Amino acid sequence: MRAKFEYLAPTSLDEVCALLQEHEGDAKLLAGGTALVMWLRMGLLSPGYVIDLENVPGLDGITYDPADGLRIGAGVKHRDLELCPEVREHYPLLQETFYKVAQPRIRLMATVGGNLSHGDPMTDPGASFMALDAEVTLRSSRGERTVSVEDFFVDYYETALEPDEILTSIHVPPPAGPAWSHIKFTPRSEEDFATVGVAVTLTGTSSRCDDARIALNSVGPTIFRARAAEDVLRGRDLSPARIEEAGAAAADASDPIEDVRGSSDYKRDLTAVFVHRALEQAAARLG
Amino acid sequence: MSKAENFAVLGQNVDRFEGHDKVTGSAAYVADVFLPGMLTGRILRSPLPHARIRNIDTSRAEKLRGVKAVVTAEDTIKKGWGVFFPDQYPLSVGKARYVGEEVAAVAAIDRDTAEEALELIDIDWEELPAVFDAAEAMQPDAPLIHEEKENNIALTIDVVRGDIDAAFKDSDLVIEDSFESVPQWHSAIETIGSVADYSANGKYTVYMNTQTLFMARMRLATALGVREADVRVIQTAVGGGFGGKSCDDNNAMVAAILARKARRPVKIINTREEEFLAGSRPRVNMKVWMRMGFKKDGRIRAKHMRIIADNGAYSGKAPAITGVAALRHDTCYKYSDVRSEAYLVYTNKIPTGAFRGFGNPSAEFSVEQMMDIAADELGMDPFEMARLNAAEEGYVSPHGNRVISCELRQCIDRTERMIGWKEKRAARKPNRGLGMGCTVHVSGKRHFGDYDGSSATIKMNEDGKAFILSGEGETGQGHWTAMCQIAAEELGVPFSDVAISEADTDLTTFCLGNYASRLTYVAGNAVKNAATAVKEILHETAAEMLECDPSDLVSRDGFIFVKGAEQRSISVADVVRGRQFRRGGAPVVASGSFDADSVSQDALRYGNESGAYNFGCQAAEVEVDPDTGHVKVIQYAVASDCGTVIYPIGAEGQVEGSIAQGLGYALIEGIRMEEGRPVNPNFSDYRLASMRDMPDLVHEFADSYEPTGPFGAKGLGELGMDPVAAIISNAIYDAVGVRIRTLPITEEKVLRALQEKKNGS
Repeated sequence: MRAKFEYLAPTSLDEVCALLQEHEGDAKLLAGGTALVMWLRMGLLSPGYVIDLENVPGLDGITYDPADGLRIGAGVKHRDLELCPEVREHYPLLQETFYKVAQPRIRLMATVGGNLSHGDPMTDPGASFMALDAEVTLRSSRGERTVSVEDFFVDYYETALEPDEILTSIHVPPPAGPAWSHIKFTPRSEEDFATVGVAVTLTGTSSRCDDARIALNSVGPTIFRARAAEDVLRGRDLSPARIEEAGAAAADASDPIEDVRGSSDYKRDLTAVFVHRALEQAAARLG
Repeated sequence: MSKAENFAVLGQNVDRFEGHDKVTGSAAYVADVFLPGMLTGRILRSPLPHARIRNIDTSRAEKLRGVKAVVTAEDTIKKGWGVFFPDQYPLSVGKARYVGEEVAAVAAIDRDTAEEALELIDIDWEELPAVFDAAEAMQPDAPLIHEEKENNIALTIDVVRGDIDAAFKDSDLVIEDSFESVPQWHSAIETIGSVADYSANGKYTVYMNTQTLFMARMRLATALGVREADVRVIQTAVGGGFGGKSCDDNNAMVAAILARKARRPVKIINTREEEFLAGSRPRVNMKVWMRMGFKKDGRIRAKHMRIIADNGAYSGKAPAITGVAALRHDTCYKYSDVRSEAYLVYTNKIPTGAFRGFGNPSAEFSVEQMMDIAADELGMDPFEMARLNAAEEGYVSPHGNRVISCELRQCIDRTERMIGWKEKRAARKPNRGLGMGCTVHVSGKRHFGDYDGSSATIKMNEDGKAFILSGEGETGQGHWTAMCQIAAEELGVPFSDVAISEADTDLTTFCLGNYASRLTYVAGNAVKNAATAVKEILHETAAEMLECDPSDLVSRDGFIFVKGAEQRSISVADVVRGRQFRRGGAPVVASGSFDADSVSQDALRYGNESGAYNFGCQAAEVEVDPDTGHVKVIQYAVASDCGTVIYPIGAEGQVEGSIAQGLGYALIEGIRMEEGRPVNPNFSDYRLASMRDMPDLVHEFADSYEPTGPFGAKGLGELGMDPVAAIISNAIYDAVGVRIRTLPITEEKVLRALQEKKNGS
């Protein structure tokens, strides 16, 4: 059976929040539709109401300020972020990550906020946002709050969003340094979801790592930070042995499921390989 | 093109005949067909892999407002249909044999109503034990899927030529190995669909996106219990076939049954999920065991092959496919002593069937790896070994296939050069490897009755334009364009002065349709013969008008000239008008027919299966990531012997598409099933190679001329697909020393094999 729902087209964020409150738990937000429409078609969701964000102002725009960092409206399309000059200049990790998502037809439709709100552990942006210490703003009729992207992902397709909340923007702090890496392993097709996805940022020097952030997608019930692997590096050198140890720690922290992309053992083995490689690449950028 | 004539239209990249319609979106696909009063049909499918139907209660569904018809087997003649074995029914009779099988159907005023009605149909199921593996299904204690088929075996082949035991004894090297292929899915961009209408006089009209129109009509007539001419099948635009739209499924049957009961037109378009479950029949997966014997110098001495082919729940074309897998490749190399055993076995899974290559990819995945293994053991260069064994003009295979034109050695030479074999082997890079393989395919195959022919009619319009009436249809490869080029060449008119009809069983003569790489060769000959006949009529009238002898006339660019006195000419249009608009006038129209000089295989499967054979050689360079097992194809080289190239851009498209599908088959594709249910029935999980995944592809056509082909042409559409998986496997072995014998060659398999190799040594 095809989904039957009432279609709502509010024209302000306040109205969106009021509708979410009114139909709490029975409404889904429609932005780019690349995830929602597929789920409706497959019968995985059957909301009573679909709230279209097409006519809602205040969700667009990318602004960059050296002191404040990057602010991204939740309704910004993947493609816009990928092509944004400030992103390219100051956040090459984000540019590379978004460039690798699916293919242009999807990126022209899918929104950044929609991607995060979907809570899909297979998608790439969340890991890179995590590695950049980004936070999201959630809004409801009750008010606004901010949550770190790391805390935002709660479980498999579950986020910190309450049923009456909408993700309105993403804030990325000012860039901390040039050392980053992103690896998306897509052996079947470049357009596939990642078998393993790794985002890394490093600060310090090659002889001493001040800070490391390692975030992974596709190898656990959520996108997550491999904190144990970070601890291996923080305040230490970036020797090959240390990097290998970090890779092994990240693999230990992973909890991949078996699917058409491979067994869970294989993905765990690859997590070590790709965290290792990503750290090498990032360390090389430290100079 | 040494043997080729000087062509005016052939070999030109003309504008594709239906190109404008397709690129502007105006081509009418089956979903675009709307008839007055048309209903939407939806199908209730078996949720169980093997289950008896105790009772079906449709009363609640019938009462739903907007429902116009609900049908079950009780609304059918309950007679089986199927091209080789009549083992399937439009709607389950008594029991269902796979998940997705059609059990009941509803026609309603819209889709939502129809789907709601499906939920109101109550079925009392009695689940039966099921079997999902072909080898297990052959065991004596396995549940029987078709009660009359002992050990679930649908077909057994055991062919021995020569003295196989002596040949193995006479061999210097004997190798043995096993391989396994997977059900690959066509993934055509358009799913199967049909619109059926039933008129009060008892005639069905069915719009279908089928690639084999008259075969569809034959099967519909059988399933509906009517005569062939009581069914009219009209081909709509087709969004990709690859064998999957050759009407081995029940979509159109169910639409027709609903239309008759509702007395209204009914449209059924498979959803993508339905297409995976019960639409196009995926490639027959096979387990292949092989033993081959070689002389020290690399000559093949003996070959023994044993195949267990997975039929799925119903037979469709799998019996013929199994035969091809068992015998076809023996036309590629010179063999004397061979034995081929094959068992086609029922399982409680999606019925398998025709897909580009038709059994040959499973066979070549095995044989071309055996050749590589042998070359390795003998310390020979695989290209040298291929050259040594390659078929040539005049070769007759042990099964009676007679090779007329053959440029396999030329293809081997070209491929070796294109891939830079010698240079790259001399300067090896770590984790890089090269692999090669050869391939053979047919140009039409005689297996549906003792006929592998085609026919066409050409009528001339009074403006001088020719119109071809053909029932072969267009499935996307560009056949319409090639047929128009052949007619234009023969008639001596510009390409723009030729058009071709849509395929319609009422308006065109009998044609077998699009399979077995047959259209350019078989239908091309029929069109050429029709054009020759039309030209004779034109020359007869032109001779009267120019007052000369018809044998002195030539046609070119839409004019008819007197040889040697070219100022004496007349336009084709004037000739057509001259013949038509006079006392006792008549239209200029003629038919042409062609039946290939092949024979039906006898009881021992001996006989020349096709009028012409196409050959090729391919090679790949790969790089293997030793830490992840990932295989990256760096470059792929293809040389194809398809005779004269009629429509170059279409031919190149066939090669590129074949390699893309072949690489998908080699590395990523395959329907995975658990308890008879596909676990990846969507394009997120069932991944295809995208444009970005294609390697650098270099390609050449051989200089070649097939004397029995239209202007020297022969088939091409499947040839390129067949050997790709073996070549990739050979290249991986060359790169890192591990050989993967089961498809797809996933990175995980490669990594584990590398680890085993490391631990073992």
